[in-house]
Amino acid sequence: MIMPSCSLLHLADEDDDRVFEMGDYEGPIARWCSGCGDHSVLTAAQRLMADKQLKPETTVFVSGIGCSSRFPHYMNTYGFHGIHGRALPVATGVKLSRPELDVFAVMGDGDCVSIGAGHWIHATRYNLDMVALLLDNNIYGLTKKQTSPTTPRGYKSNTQPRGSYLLPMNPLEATLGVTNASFVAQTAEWIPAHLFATLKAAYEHRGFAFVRVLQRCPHFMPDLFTDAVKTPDMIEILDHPEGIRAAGIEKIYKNTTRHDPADLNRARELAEDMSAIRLGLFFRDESRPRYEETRALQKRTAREKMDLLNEDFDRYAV
Amino acid sequence: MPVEIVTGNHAAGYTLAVAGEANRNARGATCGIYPITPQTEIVEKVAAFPFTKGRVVPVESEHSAMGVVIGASLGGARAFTASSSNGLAYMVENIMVAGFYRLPVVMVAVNRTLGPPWNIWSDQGDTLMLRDFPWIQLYCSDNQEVSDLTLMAFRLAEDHRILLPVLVSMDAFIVSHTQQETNLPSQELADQFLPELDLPQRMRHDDPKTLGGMVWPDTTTTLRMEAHEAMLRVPEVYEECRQAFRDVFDRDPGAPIETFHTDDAETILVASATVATTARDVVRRRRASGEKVGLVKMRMFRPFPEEALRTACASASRVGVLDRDYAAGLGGVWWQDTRAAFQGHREDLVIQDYLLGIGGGDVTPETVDRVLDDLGTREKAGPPEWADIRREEVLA
Ligand SMILES: Cc1ncc(C[n+]2csc(CCOP(=O)(O)OP(=O)(O)O)c2C)c(N)n1
Ligand code: SF4
Ligand SMILES: [Mg+2]
Repeated sequence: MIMPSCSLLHLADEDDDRVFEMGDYEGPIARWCSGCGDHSVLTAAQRLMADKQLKPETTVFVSGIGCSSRFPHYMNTYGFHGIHGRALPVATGVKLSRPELDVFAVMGDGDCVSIGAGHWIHATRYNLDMVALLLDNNIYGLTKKQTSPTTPRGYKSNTQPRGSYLLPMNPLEATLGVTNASFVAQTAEWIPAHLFATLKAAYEHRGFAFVRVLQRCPHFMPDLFTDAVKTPDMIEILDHPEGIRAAGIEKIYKNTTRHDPADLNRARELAEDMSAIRLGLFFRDESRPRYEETRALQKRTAREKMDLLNEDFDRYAV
Repeated sequence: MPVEIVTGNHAAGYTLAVAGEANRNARGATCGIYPITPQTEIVEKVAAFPFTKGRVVPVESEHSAMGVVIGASLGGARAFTASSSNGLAYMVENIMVAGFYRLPVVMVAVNRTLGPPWNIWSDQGDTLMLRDFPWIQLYCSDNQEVSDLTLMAFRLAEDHRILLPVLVSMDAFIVSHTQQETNLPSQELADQFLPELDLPQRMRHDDPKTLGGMVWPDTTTTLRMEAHEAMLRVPEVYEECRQAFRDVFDRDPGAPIETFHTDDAETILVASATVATTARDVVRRRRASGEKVGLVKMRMFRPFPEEALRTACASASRVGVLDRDYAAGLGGVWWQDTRAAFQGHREDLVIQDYLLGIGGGDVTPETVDRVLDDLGTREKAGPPEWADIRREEVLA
């Protein structure tokens, strides 16, 4: 026994005309509270995998600590339940050593925006090809109701019982401000079609795809999105042929804004303005340098290698 | 103050808060807070306290929590925090800084197994990993001890002969989440017991300076030696604080080590925290049936009370150390220090290590009985015994 794990080897042994269904990606029964938004993100991820026919053994979910970080337990894929706030460096190591794997990092708002904020900024700048999901319930859920950096001002929690003092951080605005950001989107877990379309676009993006998922925590933030769930007009869908389009939601979500995801300045304005809950693709640029390419070892001929070696030896000439 | 029925976490949080409040006529209190199970309720309790002067600062990580504590202490505030397990691991860099700056700050730790794999139950590996830093370390068996030693910690830390931070530890859940009758200090008595903080190295207008700059080896060596000398003064100053505590509260917060039937004991167990409580029951029962067994309960781990331990074990031929911790490649941490304490003094003594309750496993009287059965037959010590693991079952 090295570390408790569930083996996927029996899958790898089969020959590869396997056809996967959503159920093939299901791990043990998820033990989140009933009504927790994490359930819906889990389903969307399994649906994405089936849609793309991803192999369980070549897909990796890396998380930190939190309710949301239980995610890898419930996926029948490779998984690392890491340490609090540190999903992204582990995901970086995995992706760089095994570029052929599909890597997903799942983080909570405490994980990503609080204790692990440094990694979030730099992973955005590295722009490695992976999907980063921020499950943002505006609270520390696992430790039972403490203020997180995204908690609304004035909200009473166990660590700020007289109401949270600070303006909440805006993770979209922050990510869009980081050098080399290449994909920034927001979705809500209670709109499954939009959630799925967003995960799909993020997966298809070549580079670091940052997705903030607005997530309900009925246990500790019971009222946070109640109005938004009941009042579709509070939601503004960013719409564009190059953006994210979720089939079938237009009948309910009629409040749309046209936004070209190539327009970074406009994306920043839209992210900054909190007058509406905006869902969709804020920004995408696939031409931004990706870490795996920036750091790729150059392919050289034997001749070129000899020349380089000789050049180096010459430095030691006496 | 009337006796209340509270959890260990409540006792710690409340006592930290009144200790902080007791500094209101000086530079107040500061507590950097960050949650982690099973400690969270301590900092939540502090966060809810209406301090007259000072701030509770909810930060983004344990590293920052200790950072705030360091800065506030340098500013003259009575500064404290609480943490546990991986939180302590992440905090280590600043824990070291507080120690080497000789800041009399206090931290309550709830002993929880370090991950991975994740485990929230009791194990002392987290605080014992801090053993090489200049922090005084105290271990509690019950809620009364948590409250009393937390208050003692401030007075001891702030004494000018000491000026070292103090860590007060309790077992996860067994103490942290268990309610017991506890005599909590009233603000009035806390004020009486704790002098206002007078920190010699605090920032002052008439003496601006930079701390922590680059130095030559001799300076570092001298500072280490001074910290060591302060550690050596702890037993004496602890006794003074203990007497002062008795005078104010009319009860004994306890000595660095507590002995139970050791006077004529041939076999002695050395244990700490709640394992010591279980061991005491077993020792009491076996004494009643005529066995010459005894117990040393270790309340202090740093500085290691070597001399007191040697005295307590004078009549023994065998000592069994109960370690709810594991230092890779060696065995139990308490065992290593116990062996070192007797080295050159009692070469005849059999000092055997028993690793038990690791990862929060229940340490039952039956386990302690098995340990005593094994120890009683030993002519010499062997490698550490994994007392909870039955090899036959593992191999089967
Ligand atoms: C170093 C460290 N500090 C603190 C903790 C305790 N802790 C566990 S989860 C968590 C916050 C979780 O909040 P979030 O990331 O928002 O996830 P959620 O539970 O809301 O999904 C904290 C503080 C820890 N596990 N490790
Ligand atoms: S506490 Fe909140 S985030 Fe955690 S499982 Fe329950 S509903 Fe979900
Ligand atoms: Mg959260």
